[in-house]
Amino acid sequence: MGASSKPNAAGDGDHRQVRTKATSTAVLIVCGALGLLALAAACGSNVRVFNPAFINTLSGGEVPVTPGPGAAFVLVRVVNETNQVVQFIVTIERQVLVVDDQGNFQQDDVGNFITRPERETVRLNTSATGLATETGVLFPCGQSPVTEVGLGQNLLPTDAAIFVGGGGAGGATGFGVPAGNLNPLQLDVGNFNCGDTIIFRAFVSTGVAGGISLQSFLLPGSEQPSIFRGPDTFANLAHFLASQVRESEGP
Amino acid sequence: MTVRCCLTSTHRPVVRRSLLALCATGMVLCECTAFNPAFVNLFSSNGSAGFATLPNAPGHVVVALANQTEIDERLLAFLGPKMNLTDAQKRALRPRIRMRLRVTYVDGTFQTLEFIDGSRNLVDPSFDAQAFPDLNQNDLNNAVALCDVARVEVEPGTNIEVFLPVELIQYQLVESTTTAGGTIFTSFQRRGSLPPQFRTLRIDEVDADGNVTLQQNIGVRDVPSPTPNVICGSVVAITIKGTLAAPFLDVISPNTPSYDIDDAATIARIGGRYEFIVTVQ
Repeated sequence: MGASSKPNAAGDGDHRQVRTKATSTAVLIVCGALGLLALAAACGSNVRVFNPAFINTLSGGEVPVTPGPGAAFVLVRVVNETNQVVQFIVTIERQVLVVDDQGNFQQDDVGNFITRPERETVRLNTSATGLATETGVLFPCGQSPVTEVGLGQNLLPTDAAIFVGGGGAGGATGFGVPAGNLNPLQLDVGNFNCGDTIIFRAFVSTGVAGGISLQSFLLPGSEQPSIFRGPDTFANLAHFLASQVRESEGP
Repeated sequence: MTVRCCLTSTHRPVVRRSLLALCATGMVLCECTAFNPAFVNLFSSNGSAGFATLPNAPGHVVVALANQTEIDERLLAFLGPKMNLTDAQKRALRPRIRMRLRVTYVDGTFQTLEFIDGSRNLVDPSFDAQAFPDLNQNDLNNAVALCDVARVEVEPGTNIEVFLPVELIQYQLVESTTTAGGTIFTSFQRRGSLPPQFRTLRIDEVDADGNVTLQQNIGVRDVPSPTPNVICGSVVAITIKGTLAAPFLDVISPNTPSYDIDDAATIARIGGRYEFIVTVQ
């Protein structure tokens, strides 16, 4: 810009202008080369400069962050940003196929499979600091669809959704934080789908009882990449589980 | 940095625009999502924007427990009629296994996961299942850890347990005589019982040369091995194979689970025999 602002300069000034342009061209070439190298590294070259986990955080595409359409799971992640030990009480409801005495799936008059609701509760412990502040659990949703996901034993607003600061066996000590207006996510109304990731986050918040608030997030599986440069985590798990089905477990 | 170079170039506008277009084309052709989706949207309508306002996860490592255990036919024959199960329900029964794993991250923090898997109804109905809260706990047979994971191993100082679903009657062989100096009779006498409970699986005892001196529940080569340096995106699968078994003291009670309290070899094998296979996919 400085060079172009003096179009009528002569003598040494012209030489400086030429040198400045040559220097900027060289810088541009170096920048371009570095940029291409970065793109190559980020876009699939075998030469990896950065840790894949780091690249995945920045850009994705290295390994899946949600099961996606390729794996019939709902991933529930819990994120603890309270700087205290937190136990999350994750409850899901699923529709389980009803089987008869012979182990066959029951159907109604129209031919639809008969299901009954069944709830599962798991407790996920997270640490106060470091990578251990996050964890997750996978719920299969292929044969028996997961219809509701929330925090608390009975998915009620008054249920303790998390226990904060627990130090005893199982972590279920400390004080409980109610689910409050953190409503369970429902499949019927399109809050989530099989293949999505649901994230529950506990964070420090002033002005609320206990100083801890809760949020839920959704990472839709349909919007995630389907091809990865690294291992396809959830598809690999699905294949592994499929290979583990015993003969006696068939319908 | 590339983009910044392109935008701040002091080259002629035509060259600058060309470079900018080249950068943009490179990004689109690579289908690279290294940039802000909103920025990519300027060049490609396929750019996507996520719902969540949390940062991307760096990736996950799934730790999964595959329970491939079975129930000994003699034990099932004893339990089946009492549980009033159909053949299909009997076939679906799996021993309830409990183990604790430690996932250690690269930053030194760790999590302890308690995995429990198996049939919750696998208990002698003569005993109140409600008396065993761990039996009623929901299964937890997988966990998703954030990258990067340094090590997955059995939690130090903890045991792997299997739920023994029946009461074991304890007998002892005693010698008796009717009169002093008379004929000695030997007979089994009942000494007590062992109620249904989670029982620790023990590793075979070996001598200095590695020879097995007492066979217990797990062979020395079948223990779950620690998995170090887990690559981001991997699945660490722990498969348990084996058979849940209870002893029957045939000479005194062939139809009821029982054992001689002086028979160390039988006591060591209570709970059955198992092997653990750890794979990283």
